[in-house]
Amino acid sequence: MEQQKKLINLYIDGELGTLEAQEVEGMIASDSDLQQYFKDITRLNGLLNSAYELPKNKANTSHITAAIPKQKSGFLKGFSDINWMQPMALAASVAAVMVVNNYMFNTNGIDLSIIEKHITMTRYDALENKLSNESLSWNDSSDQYSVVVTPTKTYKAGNGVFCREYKEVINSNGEITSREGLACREKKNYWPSKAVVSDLFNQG
Amino acid sequence: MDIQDKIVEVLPRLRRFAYGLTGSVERGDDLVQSACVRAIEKSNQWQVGTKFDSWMFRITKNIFTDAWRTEKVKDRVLDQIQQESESSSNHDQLENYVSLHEVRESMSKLSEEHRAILMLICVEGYSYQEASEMLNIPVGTVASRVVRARSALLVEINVLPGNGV
Repeated sequence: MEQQKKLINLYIDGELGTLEAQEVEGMIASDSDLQQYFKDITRLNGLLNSAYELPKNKANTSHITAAIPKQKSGFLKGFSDINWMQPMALAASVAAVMVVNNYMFNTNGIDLSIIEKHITMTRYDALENKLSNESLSWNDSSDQYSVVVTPTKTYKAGNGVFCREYKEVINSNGEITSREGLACREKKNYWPSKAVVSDLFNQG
Repeated sequence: MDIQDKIVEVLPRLRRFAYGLTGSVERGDDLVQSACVRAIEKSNQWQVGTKFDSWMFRITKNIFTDAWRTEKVKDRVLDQIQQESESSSNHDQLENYVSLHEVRESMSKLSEEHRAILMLICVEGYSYQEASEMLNIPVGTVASRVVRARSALLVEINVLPGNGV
């Protein structure tokens, strides 16, 4: 079990090659305990990234530069222009999102980008307006595509930003995919995801 | 690109790393300040062609390790976290609330080694090879330490009242 956990950590951190990664995916798919461990670790990464997300306002760095020797501080003139918020390397999240992207829509002449947009907007709406364990659903006029989004837990970051875990079940022309994720509110009705875990391992 | 430009480039990530190590923005910035000063003083020790990130993160980690060995610093970190927890207690607005302060509080209970590896791998997204260079430990040790650190953090978070990762 310990060796398997080590492999899952390597997988999540993007340290495995394609073939090794596929073997780990198969290993996870065949063991419910490992599936839970995978979800726990991926979610843990999302929490860590949210907990240490840097404020988007420009940081006052004068207190850092104050003690730098003056004759060598010329390079520090750019400090006040540095935004704390840099693109974060969410290694594990990226790995998880790659898993999520395995689901495919059937193409029957329907503009899939519009379907995906509806799914995203439904998620944002649910995260903005629904209490935990309350669901919000959307379906297209043909009933070929639908999504049900349920926020499950709420966090608040030190900078006042709310983050929420959610589950969503997507019906894509009869193919059911469910996934769990963590999203943080950047502005009203805008909740980009920080980490997503699909139920790749549960699909029948 | 000279060493000054490189410091500016790495500074935002260095500040976040220091925040993770110390548990507070203020202490983290103090740490980064010390690291910048030391980097400038010892700039002749950095070899062009080697990874500058690794060098700066290693300096930061070493300064923190030296300071952490005094209980005085440790107490200040815990005090700071306590203050943050108390000041945030009036902001509970949503149901099923779990503060991300608690995640950081759980981090503060981990060993210095575990905090450093989690910040480098999970938050900064460095590879195991890069982390091994920064921490001056073998890649295999990085892999083992990542597993233990994540397990330790899971335990700490799960023991918080009402939590479950």
